[in-house]
Amino acid sequence: MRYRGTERLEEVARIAEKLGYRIVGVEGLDKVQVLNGVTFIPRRTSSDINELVKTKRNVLRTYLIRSPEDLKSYPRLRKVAVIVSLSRAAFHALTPKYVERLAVLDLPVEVAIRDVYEAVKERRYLRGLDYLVSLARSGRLELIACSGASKYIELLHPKIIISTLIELGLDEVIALKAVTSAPAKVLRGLGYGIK
Amino acid sequence: MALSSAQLTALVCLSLAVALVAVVISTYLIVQQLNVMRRLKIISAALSSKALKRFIKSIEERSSKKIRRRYLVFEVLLHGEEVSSANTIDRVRLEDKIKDAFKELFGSLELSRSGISVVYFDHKEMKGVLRFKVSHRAKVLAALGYIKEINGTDAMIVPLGISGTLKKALAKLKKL
Repeated sequence: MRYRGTERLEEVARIAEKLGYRIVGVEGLDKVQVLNGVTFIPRRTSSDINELVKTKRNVLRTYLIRSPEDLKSYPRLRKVAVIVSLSRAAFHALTPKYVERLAVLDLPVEVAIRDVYEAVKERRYLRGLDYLVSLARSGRLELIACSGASKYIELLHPKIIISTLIELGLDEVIALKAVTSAPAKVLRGLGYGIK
Repeated sequence: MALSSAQLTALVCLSLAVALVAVVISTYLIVQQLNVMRRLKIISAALSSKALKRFIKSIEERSSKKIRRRYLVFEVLLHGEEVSSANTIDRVRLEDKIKDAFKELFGSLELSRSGISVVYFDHKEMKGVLRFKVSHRAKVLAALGYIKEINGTDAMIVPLGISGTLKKALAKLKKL
């Protein structure tokens, strides 16, 4: 979850538990908290590598891409960030070359389903997303799907996320992985014990 | 018994020939196995391909005379203090909202084929049952995520379970 931390954590925990989430990444959180059986872990999203370097090792360090130029320093990026996230502008500006660069980066790419819905609402051509999906289908790129929620009411049920990914052209297994094992692998890498 | 040089040469030649035949046979077997593996890979890829899955699904749809439906048990959650406006959400309005979301995502043709209908909605508990055709399961779930507000209030629809009959769906609803 890409929660910005503007609401009470108890409310988020109540909804997250209802939706079946076990771990939620929260921006601006200092330490790990467990509420209603949901673990909240600190998350830092930035498009400045130097800022990510300074963050603690157990923080979910996410590099936010705003334009293709942000990927130029990718050798350093791989050591610093654990996930790459696309801003809405970057999401709309995806080209084959851009997606290829993302694949070379060898980091999981986070796709917010709310961004997809917004793009549909604005009647945008989702060409870039097709490239992402085709690379994910061939196994060259690892996708992580999230709600992209900025308030708890925008959280999406995992079944809804998986179904949307299937409708976007992903196989069921890869869609399931994007919600379960791919994020779990990242968290295990950060030292969180996940079965 | 000592062997003559001619016999020794013949013996060496024979053993060389046997070794050569063994090498040829083993190479052939390895190549065959690789071919089999490659074929297996192709078959497994073909079986998991989306086109084949769609083809199988279309055959299933054509062969079965009965329209297979599913019943989704859901809950409507409203944002924060605005829960007091819950009573204004009725079955027809909710159905329209779901249909609008589905139409915007997948179009009118798919909507008319999906058979979406809210068969039951308890406006006090904010829980209900949605009926749709089994082939449109993923589409319906995706459309539920597309809904952001109902009656001007931020809302979300949470799928709680899917069953094959209305009776079971209602039983599930009462259990929750």
